[in-house]
Amino acid sequence: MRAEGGRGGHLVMDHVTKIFARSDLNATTNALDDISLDVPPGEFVSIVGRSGCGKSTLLRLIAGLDSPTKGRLLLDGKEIRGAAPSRGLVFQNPALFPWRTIWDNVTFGPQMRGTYREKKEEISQLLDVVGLSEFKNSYPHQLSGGMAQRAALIRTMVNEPDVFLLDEPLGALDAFTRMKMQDELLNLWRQRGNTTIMVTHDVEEAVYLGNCVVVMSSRPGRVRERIVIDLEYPRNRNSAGFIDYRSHILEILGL
Amino acid sequence: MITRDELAELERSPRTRTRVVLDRLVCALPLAAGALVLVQYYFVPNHGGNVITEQYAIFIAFFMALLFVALFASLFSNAVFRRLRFKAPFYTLVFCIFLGWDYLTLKTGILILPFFPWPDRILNAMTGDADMLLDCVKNSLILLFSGYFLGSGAGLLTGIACGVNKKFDYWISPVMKILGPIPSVTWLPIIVVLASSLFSGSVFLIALGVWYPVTLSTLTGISNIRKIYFEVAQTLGAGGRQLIFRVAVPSALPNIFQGLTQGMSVACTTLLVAEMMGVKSGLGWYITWQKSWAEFAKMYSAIILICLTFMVVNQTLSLLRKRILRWREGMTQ
Repeated sequence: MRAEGGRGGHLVMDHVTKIFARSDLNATTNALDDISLDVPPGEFVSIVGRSGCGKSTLLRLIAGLDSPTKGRLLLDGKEIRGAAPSRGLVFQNPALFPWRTIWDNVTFGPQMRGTYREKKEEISQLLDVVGLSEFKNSYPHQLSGGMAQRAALIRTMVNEPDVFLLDEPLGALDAFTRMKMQDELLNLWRQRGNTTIMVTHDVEEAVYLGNCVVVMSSRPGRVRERIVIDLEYPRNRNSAGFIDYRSHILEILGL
Repeated sequence: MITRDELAELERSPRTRTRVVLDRLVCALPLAAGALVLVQYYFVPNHGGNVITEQYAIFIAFFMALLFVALFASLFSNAVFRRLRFKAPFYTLVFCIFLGWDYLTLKTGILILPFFPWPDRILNAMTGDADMLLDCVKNSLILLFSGYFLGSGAGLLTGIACGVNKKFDYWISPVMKILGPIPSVTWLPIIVVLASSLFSGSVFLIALGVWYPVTLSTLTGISNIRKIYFEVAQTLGAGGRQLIFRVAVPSALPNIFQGLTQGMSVACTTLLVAEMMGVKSGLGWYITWQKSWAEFAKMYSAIILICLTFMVVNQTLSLLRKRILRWREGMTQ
């Protein structure tokens, strides 16, 4: 099943390899090795894997912040070169601009792209939805971790990216906030239908959110298995099907 | 909801009766010291032929009146009381300094004229030569700000250019490393010969002195920006100039202001040196000129004016900085 909006982009990774030069000695690290993935428009893909499997590197390649050593990445048939607002990335820490108020942070994209006037209303409503209206005029350091991460999500969301990239966006949150945010994320995705790729450590989160879960192996990062999660949204974490998927994935990861 | 003041009041540990009385007494202490100054001024006989005027008494009485109003208000407002209680010991000290100054000069002649005039004499010198002094203040400020704005503007430009453009940095950095640490007044002898006028020469000297710290701090600020902010901005659609003016510059502002403050103190020093050595106007020139006539009271009055002027200038700068860096309030640094 897909999200209703269907405004997402079609992402193709074609034998992508990324090698990093190491700073400590004259050697290189193979971060990603021959990754091929096809993500249909509007799909939510969760990527799980142990630390060091190159998950974040993969997102940075899609975002255009790094270039692949070999292979190609294509969005709707066009090769990805450099960062662009069509591929929005939410970082592991919120990375809000400390010198801008929450409002100026979430409207940063539209301000830069000259769409501020048209977007104002919509952004106001979005802030309402995630409970940040009250903090419009606050500065980032005055917010709790959960609130800051929500603001960061909105900031990327308002740009309406074709591909929404999430790098462990909920990793630093406590269990309660995290579960609440998962539902918020799901709602936003179902409303808007962006193609979404989320990297996470948390297998339960991966199964709860994704149309499919990509399991990666480490050093070098490779796609181990791609598991389609055939469960209706919203999912029940305690259903037999859910638990089966979870155990299966944990097994692949060797846990 | 309660106000912040009420909250502080509620949470404060209780104070004993003697403590309360003592606090009120401390608030009245500056007034007592002021009264003592007046009593000594009028009732202790002067040394030798020293004469006094009313001006000093009016001056002291004016500040005492202000303190009296504050003391009266402190009976009704807690905020005024706390502020007065905090400042009172310091004000008392200031009055005591005047007391001692009068004693050493006017009353006993331990410190002798013409080098050590008493406050009344300086006040008279100041009011007597008011027109000229104000003109000097005006000229000094014009020179100071011409140089300061020129220098800080150039510093910002160079700093930003070096911060964002590697090639620019390659050529400018060595020049900065060599010329930067030389105090700009070192060039004064050459400037006097080369500049078309002493005024433009001095503007250049001040600008040069300001340019270095502003450039350096802007450059430091920009190179210390966390890479992630640029990456976030790029994925959100910012590019080129936007990355410079919406990301690099605002996040470097705390550093830039450090440079601007440092630049201001360099500018003030350079201004005075320039005025004392060459320029034929301004407070620095007034000081050397009056000194050559052994008019020490006038000289001191110019020094006091310099102090007041620079205080106002620096205060303005720090207000501006507070306003612009509002986003850092309450941030743990």
